[in-house]
Amino acid sequence: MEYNVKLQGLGEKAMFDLRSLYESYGYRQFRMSKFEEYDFYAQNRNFITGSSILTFTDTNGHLMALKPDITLSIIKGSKIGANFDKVYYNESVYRAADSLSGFREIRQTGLECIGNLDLYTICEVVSLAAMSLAAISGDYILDISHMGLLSGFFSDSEIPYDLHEQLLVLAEAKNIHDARLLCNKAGIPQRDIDTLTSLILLRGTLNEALTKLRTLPLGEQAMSAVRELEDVSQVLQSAGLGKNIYIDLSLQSNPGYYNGLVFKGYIAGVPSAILSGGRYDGLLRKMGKDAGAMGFAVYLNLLENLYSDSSQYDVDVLILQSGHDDAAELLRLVKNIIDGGETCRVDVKIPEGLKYRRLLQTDGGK
Amino acid sequence: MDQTVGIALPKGRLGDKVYNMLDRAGYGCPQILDPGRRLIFENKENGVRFFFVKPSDVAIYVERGAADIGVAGKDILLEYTPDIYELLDLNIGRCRMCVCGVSGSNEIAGRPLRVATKFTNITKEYYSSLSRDIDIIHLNGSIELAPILGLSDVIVDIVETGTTLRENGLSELEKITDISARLISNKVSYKFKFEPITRIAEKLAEFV
Repeated sequence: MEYNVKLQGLGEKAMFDLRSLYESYGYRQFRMSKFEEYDFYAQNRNFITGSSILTFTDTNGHLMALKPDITLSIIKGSKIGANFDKVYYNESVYRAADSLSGFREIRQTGLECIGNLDLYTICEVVSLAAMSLAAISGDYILDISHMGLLSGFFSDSEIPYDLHEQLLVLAEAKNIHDARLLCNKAGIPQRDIDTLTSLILLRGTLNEALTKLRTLPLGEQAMSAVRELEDVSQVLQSAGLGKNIYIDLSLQSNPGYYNGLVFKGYIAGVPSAILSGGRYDGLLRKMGKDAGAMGFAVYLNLLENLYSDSSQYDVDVLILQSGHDDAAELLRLVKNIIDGGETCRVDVKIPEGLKYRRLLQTDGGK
Repeated sequence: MDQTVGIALPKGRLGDKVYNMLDRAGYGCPQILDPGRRLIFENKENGVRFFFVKPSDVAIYVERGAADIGVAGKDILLEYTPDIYELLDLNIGRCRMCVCGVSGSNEIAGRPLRVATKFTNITKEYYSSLSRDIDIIHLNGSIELAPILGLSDVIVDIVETGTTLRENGLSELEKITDISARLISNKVSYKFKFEPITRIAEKLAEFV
């Protein structure tokens, strides 16, 4: 069935398209309740984006929380066996608003793959992230990075531990001037400063970025992350799935959550990342599960303003009926208009504020 | 995607300086010299569109994608921590964020230090790094009045020459950080308009 984007809204269309995409790869839908016990989130705060949780007391006196995260609930219920647990979801989460007080509802769809992750599975998740973006818009970019690259470089270099966190924040903002200043003050060798700034600025297609990476003097720990990026890039390109995928090492998702490959997706016209994901084995270990996990979320609420145009019409054709029309003839006329690909509303007078492209007025059968 | 780069500049002296740098770098827009009632100035030939906004709003315009790049003071970036790329230190609009007050007023013990400021986040972070308990008093202007009238022990504010402080019997007690104007970019614009944005940053770097 073809969906009418204008009627549904881009978010709803994406929701249907993505569900179909994830099901075609054998992911099953995960459904969850709106609430979890507050204790569950309190014990796993490091794995939640933002720190505010909306709580209430249920009829039994238990402190409950409106879910701020979906992955935690999926991992909690996941059974680790010989095979993979592959699930997708389509849910809302509730988080503190960025700037003002209060909370906002964020519609998310996404998937999680839990088990002993191999190269195929990692590439499948990354390519599904790219395909999710492509399903929304042809004008997309997927940036990938590896959490082990900068942290590995720090371990291999003479940069002291107490500077790592500050430098990661500066790296995320591509702020090489302050990074240089900080390193110079701390007496870091020039060779390490040069490598760090090259890593922060490194951005390019899979081939371009990997070629640049191979020229940098990296130690064994950072090279281990480079090799994983190389393996994934090679598979994606061989399978013809490397289009619009870039390596950008300034991408540093929550280091308390992610530990391997990480990625973010962007759509032209949406001013922030619409997709975010990566590998998060640490969460499974914290929950006593011996496996790896990788997944991503697509923030459907960000699509609401995409292509929004204040001059957009509520309806293509507004028909004002006189009250003495031939009902059957009017029904035929409306159906013809709709079959012709336009939307149509029949009314007795022009509704206040309604934006229409064309106005038709019946003549009461005369 | 349209590759025209939208540039948000701060109104006032700093914005004029930055525009002059951009003009010398080949990104001028003759309309700006004869603005009339126009709010947005575009030069299709070199692919830039300018608009001037309140200095403290530049980062919001850029973070939300209404502008692709902009110029904002480091004080604003430290205070509001917008999710943007900080591409270049323009080395203009130089000043410093300081703790100021009457000599010795920052040495008070036995109660939390009362600090008046409009930069509450910078202040909290600074005193937290010193493990010092403070009572923050948020003010929107005329910060120097607070210690004079006994509202606070010290203030945290931007100091350029120090003349206003001296005229009111106050002085710089501790420097928190140096401040200057920074070229910032929306993260998504940087990816979709990589060539034009990096070219502007490189050209501007020649004048820093």
